[in-house]
Amino acid sequence: MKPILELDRVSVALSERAVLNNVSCAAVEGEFIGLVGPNGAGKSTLLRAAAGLIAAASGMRSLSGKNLDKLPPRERARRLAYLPQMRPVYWGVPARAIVALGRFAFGAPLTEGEQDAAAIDRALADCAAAHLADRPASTLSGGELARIHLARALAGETPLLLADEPIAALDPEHQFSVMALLRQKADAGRTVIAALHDLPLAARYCTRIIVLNAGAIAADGAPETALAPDLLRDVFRVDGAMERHGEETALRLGLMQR
Amino acid sequence: MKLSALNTAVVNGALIAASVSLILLSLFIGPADIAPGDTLAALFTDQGAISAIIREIRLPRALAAWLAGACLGAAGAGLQGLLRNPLADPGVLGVSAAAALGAVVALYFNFAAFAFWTTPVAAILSALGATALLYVLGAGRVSTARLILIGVGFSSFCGALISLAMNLSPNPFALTDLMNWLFGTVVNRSFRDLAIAAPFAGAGLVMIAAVAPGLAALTLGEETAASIGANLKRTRALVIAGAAFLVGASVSVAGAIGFVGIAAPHLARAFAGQNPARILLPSIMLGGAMLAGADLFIRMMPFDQELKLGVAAALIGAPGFVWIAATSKRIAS
Repeated sequence: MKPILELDRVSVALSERAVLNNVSCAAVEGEFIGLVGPNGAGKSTLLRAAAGLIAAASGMRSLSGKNLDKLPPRERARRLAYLPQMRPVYWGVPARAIVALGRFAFGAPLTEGEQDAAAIDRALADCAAAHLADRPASTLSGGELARIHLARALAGETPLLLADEPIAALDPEHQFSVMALLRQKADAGRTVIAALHDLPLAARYCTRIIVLNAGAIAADGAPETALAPDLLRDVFRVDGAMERHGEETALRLGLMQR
Repeated sequence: MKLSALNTAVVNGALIAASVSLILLSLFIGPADIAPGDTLAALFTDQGAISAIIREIRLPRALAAWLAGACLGAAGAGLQGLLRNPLADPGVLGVSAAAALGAVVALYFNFAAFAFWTTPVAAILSALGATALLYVLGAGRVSTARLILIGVGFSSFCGALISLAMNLSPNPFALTDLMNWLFGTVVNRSFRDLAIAAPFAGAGLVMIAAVAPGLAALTLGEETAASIGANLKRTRALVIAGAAFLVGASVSVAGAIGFVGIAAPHLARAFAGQNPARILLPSIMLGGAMLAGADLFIRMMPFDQELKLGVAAALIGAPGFVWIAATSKRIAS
């Protein structure tokens, strides 16, 4: 299968500090990739580089077979949506207007056609946020706003979704429902790459895990192989193992025993 | 959505009607005692001296006041959207001060002796020069916070040079002239003056209008705006250059006028919501209406000494602005 996103020996330096070193990976249709790693491992930088928002010092990035560096901003935005970790909203616009910006690259930027309106409504419904549509953004709770931003990223219905900590501000119920939603999008043929800190949730919902450590890929594979006990100890400094609970397996973590 | 589109149309229609009414009303008021019926007749048919007063004195003066305000409203709305900062306006970036300094330098060295257009053109050129310098110093790469800081420093420096010119001013007449440029006036404006400013105003308005989508995208910050397909380099360049054209045009017809650039966009938000793309037209109309109204107020005042336009705008506009800023839920998030 042709990859949607392909990174070939990509290195990124920020303020002259090397953050990513020769990272190579490819994502195909239908994958929900959990990008995990300790703080400062380079997860956000990898997502930004994949989104074409920062320059790579070296290496080649391609999106649906096209050189990412040569894609104009609007064309890039029709192929990928990016949900940043920091999500400021500067003016007191209604929640629906934020989601509508997810359709910016489609049609005339400031008009909302029928297709746009339908996609916005679908994204709001997916994120269980339809009832928030008319509320000013400034009156929403952190979790409600996080779902509105996710809806914004989904509204473009792009082949690739890059999400930086999409469940960080959510209560347990919404963490489960957002992870299930992202998995459902992948099962429907889209590609999702999400930076995550919750390893058990990542193991449960993702089809594939990429472990990033100190700017390089430490493991890449199915959850049970990528999150093996040795790696959890070496990279995350925690003890952990997959445990069977009847029909389900779950990753159980504990403080490392020395 | 349908309802908000209707609301927007009503707000815009009302503001355009207000602008046109204020300009028309201005034709009826002035030192020469002309009956209202004669005013209309003189505007549309040739009535000799009365027509000359209406068409060549009152009309260009009213249009100059409106144009100066409209330009400031557009520049303020564009800059606030770009910098995502409700305190931004042409004054903060130093563009207004630079334009005023240009006019002051032209007056100080008496360039006007060569040709009438030297002072307004000096104002426009120095607004552009200041913006170019601002751009070279950082707009292309640094954060907007740093851009504002550079602008504040810029503004102070230009203000100091203006004060210096006033200190060293050789005679009181020159000082009066300087005052006109520093506090604003549209007395004795002609279509000749408007013709100098109009191309710059038009270019500036087109530039700001062209980046309306980019300004809307910037509601979500620079990173997200770039990711959804906004061209930030183009947006930044057009807003900053557009603001320079607009401020230059405004200063060239009316002198340096503060307050309107920051107040008009906020008043527009109170009426039209906070979407930075949707407040552009209301800001233009409100800015124009504010100065057209202020000039009308000046003509109705029974003082011997003419009240300056910037003074009148702040005198009548500021209390209302303070009230709206303190009470409106829609003005800032």
